[in-house]
Amino acid sequence: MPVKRTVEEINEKIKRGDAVVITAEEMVELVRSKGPEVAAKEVDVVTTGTFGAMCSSGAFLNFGHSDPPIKMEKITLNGVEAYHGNAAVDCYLGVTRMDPERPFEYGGGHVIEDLVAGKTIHLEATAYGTDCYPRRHVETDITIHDLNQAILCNPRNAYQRYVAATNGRDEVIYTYMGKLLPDYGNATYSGSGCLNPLSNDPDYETIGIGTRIFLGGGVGYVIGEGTQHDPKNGFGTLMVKGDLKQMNPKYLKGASFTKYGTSMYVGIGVPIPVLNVGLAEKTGVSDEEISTNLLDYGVPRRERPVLKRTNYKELKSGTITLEDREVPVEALSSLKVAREIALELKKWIEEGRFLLTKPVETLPLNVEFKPMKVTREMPTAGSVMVKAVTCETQESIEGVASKLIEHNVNHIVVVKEGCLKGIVTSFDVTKAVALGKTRLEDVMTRKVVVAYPEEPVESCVQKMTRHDISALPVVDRGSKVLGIVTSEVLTRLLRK
Amino acid sequence: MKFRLKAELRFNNRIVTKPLISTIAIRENSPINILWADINDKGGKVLVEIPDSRAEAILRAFEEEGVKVVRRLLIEVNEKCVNCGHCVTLCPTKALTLDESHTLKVDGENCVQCGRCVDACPMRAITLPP
Repeated sequence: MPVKRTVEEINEKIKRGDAVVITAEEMVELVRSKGPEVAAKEVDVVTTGTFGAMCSSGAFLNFGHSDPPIKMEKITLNGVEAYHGNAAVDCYLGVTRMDPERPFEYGGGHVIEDLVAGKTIHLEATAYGTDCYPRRHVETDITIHDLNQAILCNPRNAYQRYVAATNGRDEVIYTYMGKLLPDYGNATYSGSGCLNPLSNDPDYETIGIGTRIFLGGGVGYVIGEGTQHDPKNGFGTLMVKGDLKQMNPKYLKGASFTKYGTSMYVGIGVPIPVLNVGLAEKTGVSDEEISTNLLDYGVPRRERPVLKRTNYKELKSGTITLEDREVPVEALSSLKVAREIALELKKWIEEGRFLLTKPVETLPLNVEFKPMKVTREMPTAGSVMVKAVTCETQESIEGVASKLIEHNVNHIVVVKEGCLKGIVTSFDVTKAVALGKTRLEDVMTRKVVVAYPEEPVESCVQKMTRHDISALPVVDRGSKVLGIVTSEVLTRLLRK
Repeated sequence: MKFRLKAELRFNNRIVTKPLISTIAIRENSPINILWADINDKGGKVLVEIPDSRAEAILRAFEEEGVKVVRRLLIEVNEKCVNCGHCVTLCPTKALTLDESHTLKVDGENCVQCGRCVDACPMRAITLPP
């Protein structure tokens, strides 16, 4: 007879203390060894867990009124600005907002962690003053206990799965996927694979508005699908809320990503009731069955090139094979803490402290994640580049000098059979004359900073500023010179 | 030959120009592996690797020449670490590894103080002693 259970029946068992609860990792083994029918008979609840950077997180805080009262217009907490577009003393503190005095080191996520840890937070607010709220400035030191409400409310958490990242550029890049070494030197990923909450209920049969969850070490609720929820591609997300006052700083940690920004690691665990054999099979999903793409984050575009199809088994193995290379790969999220969360939630349920809920409405299956509609297209290196004036390596300094004059340019790209070998500037030629050098190879720059055709102009400007240069040859992946982007080209673009 | 002991040799600007490492390597008849060196107007710092069996004699020889010898763990990971493992992918010498339970293991003796991991740690849990 096929197994069928209801959430109410499971809750009765939890109250009696005889519900069988196992973690999603344990379920993989059980389903593999005994099959989904037996697993469905034996298990009532499967617990999941994830602990990683979730940038779309933040908290609603209410401070109560000062006397005389203030209608806050600008408010900072430990130097981090909170959004104030609501009533007098409400605000929303987002985790990626940084303290301008400590950029990339201390942000909203750190303030939330400090609040939850019971630390004193410095609040400063200014206002324009009204007849009913005359005060124009307030400065005070508060703790979480002084607040009326401190509600964690995260628009997008707990991605069903996420892509893995590596970097094909010839320089280190700092991204929200961590520090990526040049030339595919390392790779990172996020999420806990078979422990990921939504991977265990991919058809959203049990998760939806009102699902009670483990959130930040306390109890929270799913309040709907998260932003960018993308069920058709297996990238579902959750919107969640919970009382910060009950939470634990172990499961809410401010994070710092060099040259990217701040964020917060959020601990989430969702219990999946095993209502039928289908759910037993789904919660038995293994790391190997959860596939994702390895992307080249070296390409700063929305559609990053897919380098290979991979899965969480390979990602968790420590190395990923990329053509003939073994690239070291580890998570940015913490598998260890994800496991602890699944175990902690299991303990809560076993001890009868946590009952399951049936969602008022399950997560939608038919919504789409669309790209931004941009009505003013941003130019790329390929669209603004001009024809590069080139020469071969054996060209004489005089030859280079006359080309500079003839074409009225400051840069000549040195090529061999159309491929980039170096760059020489009018300054290099002047230097050659002053120092009596006659060979082009003695004055040209060999290590050339380049742009790729699909690269946005803004990224070209960043490169030119960072390296203090005024032109970038545009090349394809085989080093073939396609054109050049110069500061003159960019200036002309700005004038338009 | 086991090369385990790493020490940082600090030279002041009076002795930084002397060929002390090669002199001592020849005199003590022992290889000394230079992992990195940093010379500036105040003097210099050199991280060396010395065979365990000759370590004490060699370090004493440096001290006698006026070199300050610092022996210690070259990397520290504090309790803020959440064991994500990002640093593991950046470490060129396997000083940082994850064990089967995904817990970070630090092998200070393997660290060459390159510093790659420090600014990558999202929890800012890694420090290299100055």
